[in-house]
Amino acid sequence: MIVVEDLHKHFGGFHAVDGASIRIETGSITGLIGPNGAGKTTLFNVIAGRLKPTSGRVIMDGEDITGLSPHELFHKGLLRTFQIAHEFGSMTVRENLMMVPASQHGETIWNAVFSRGRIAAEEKRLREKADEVLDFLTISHLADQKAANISGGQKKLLELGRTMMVDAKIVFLDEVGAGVNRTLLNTIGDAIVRLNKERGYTFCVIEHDMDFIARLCDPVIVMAEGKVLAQGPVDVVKSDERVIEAYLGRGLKNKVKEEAAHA
Amino acid sequence: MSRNFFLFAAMAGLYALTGFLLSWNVSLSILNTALLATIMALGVNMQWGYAGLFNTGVMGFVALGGLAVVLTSAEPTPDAWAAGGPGIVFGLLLGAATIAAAIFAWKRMAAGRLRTLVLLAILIGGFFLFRAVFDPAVTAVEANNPATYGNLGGLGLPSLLAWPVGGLFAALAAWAIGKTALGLRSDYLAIATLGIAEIITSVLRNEDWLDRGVKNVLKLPRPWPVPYEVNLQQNPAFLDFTTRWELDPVATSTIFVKLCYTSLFAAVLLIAIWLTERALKSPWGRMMRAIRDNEVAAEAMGKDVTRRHLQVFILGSALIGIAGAMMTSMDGQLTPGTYNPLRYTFLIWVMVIVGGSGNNWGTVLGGLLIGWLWLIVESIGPAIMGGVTAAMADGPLKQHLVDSAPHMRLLSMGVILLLVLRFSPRGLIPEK
Repeated sequence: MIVVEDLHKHFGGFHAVDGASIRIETGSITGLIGPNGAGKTTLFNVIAGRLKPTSGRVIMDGEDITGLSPHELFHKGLLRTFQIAHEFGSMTVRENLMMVPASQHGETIWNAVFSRGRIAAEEKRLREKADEVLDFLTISHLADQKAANISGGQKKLLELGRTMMVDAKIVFLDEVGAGVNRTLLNTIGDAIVRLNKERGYTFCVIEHDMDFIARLCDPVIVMAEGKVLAQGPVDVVKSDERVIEAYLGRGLKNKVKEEAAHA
Repeated sequence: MSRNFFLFAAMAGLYALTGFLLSWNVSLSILNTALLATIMALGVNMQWGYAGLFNTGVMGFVALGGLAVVLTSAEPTPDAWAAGGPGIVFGLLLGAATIAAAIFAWKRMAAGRLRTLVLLAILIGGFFLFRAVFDPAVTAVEANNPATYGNLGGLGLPSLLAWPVGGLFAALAAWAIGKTALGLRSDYLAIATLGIAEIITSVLRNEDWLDRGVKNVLKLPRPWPVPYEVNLQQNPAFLDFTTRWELDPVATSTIFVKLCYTSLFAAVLLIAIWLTERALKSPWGRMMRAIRDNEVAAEAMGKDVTRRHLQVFILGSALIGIAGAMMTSMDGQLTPGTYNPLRYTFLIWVMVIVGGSGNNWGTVLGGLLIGWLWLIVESIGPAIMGGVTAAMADGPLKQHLVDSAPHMRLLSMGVILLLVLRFSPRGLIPEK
């Protein structure tokens, strides 16, 4: 479980996150939505250690993890993907996956040069694991492609795949569906649900596609202007007045209401 | 594969051609210099090609390797030590203690005016204390027979031992630089290393007590097992050999000595290639390439990017330092005035880029090819220009052309770099 307490992140005078408090229950797929500039990605970056908060705390399973660096959080089981895919372009898709597991024997320079036997055995295991993940994501045919050359949507799948190479506790997905076609988005959605059910991953998902959110997420957290507006099941949140206002602006809100009254 | 084989064969052909047309002496001395530059280029390739670190201070690490040879294998000067050795050591310890005390105060005291005042007191007081102990000792050492010594001298140990020491010096410097500069964005690392390399060479040029400055340290011993030509020419076995094959003993002895260096350097180069290749083709290398491709993602995937950057920066610099020490021990002298960034930073970078950064074999090809070109243009450039201008009437234009011919190596380097970047932007043997 992740608890964020009164988190602020200021860039000069701009308050990107302005006192957000959220709670991500273990085993849930929590959606995080809000108009552009609501502070969702900044909140992600603070939780995942990319940015240091101005004030506030992030607590994971009772442990204060505020301000830890991303690689330390990785070892605690907190993983993330990026809004714009961050693949390792010059490496093959399979290598992208094989590099993920922590404390590999061959990651120390001495072992890399002088302990090849043990590395070979370890690499075989990693390779099998990577191929399993590729199979799960239905992109086995891309295994030997350079990651730079695969499509944007496939890169998103690859990023999801990286989180599957270890036993993650919680995974933050930043706009996993941005620029991804429907079919591929469904594949990604299926993968998320399966990971949640079969491997007990907790997810926190930023996404603009409301169908996707409605299908996967419960509960949903709505942010606007750096603050949390509402939190709850998707249907409840959707009809929340503040949420509609944040998305559509005040003038349109009344129009929507009128139309709803007519209908 | 066949293309790479052809490239290496062509490169070997160039050296053979130089041997047949000019002389084997020239060919081998170019090869030796190029082998050393290639080892340096492998170090740069580790930093840039593996991990994306932009080190523009190659010269500094080469110079530190050179200093290691002086301090390790120059003959000891007991008089200088008696005159000021303890004073210099004590002075340096005082300087280090001052910095340590300042860091301690900075960390332990609460921020505020008091801390600022205490820091200033420590630093200013420490500086004057340091100079009070250090300066008289330096004067005493430099007054000791300045025509021959004037420095503290070395330990008189074998020159071969100075090579790893050179690597160690460079590694220590890299550690200090990395600790301060690797947190910076990549372009700032370039500026920092550029500046630090200038500082290192300028210290070597000015601190006479350390390495005689621009007066140079001469007569450094040769590394085992390279003999001296004079001894060789009196060696009966060698003379037997030359008479049997009807060779000129003097010319053969110089070639024999050069061949000794060639085999030594080639052995070190092969070991370096073996180690760097194995490291690259391993989970370690994969992690490094991931960090180079995308630092943010590598960090998010649990890799400690800062620590790994420091590690590869130290390893690459150590390799450069070893090559720097090998160079000074081949030259038999340390000439701090000759370290310039064009020759020891820019040229090494051209080798890596032309050869193919990220690929060790590409770097080796680039090193040997560019090394050959750099030295051959110096000798054939003026000759070509002489031929071209032979028919011209004497005058300012002809004079200008002939005078500028020695600078042709700069032009040719630029042209080669442009051509390679235009037609094979990832180098002659690109990374797979």
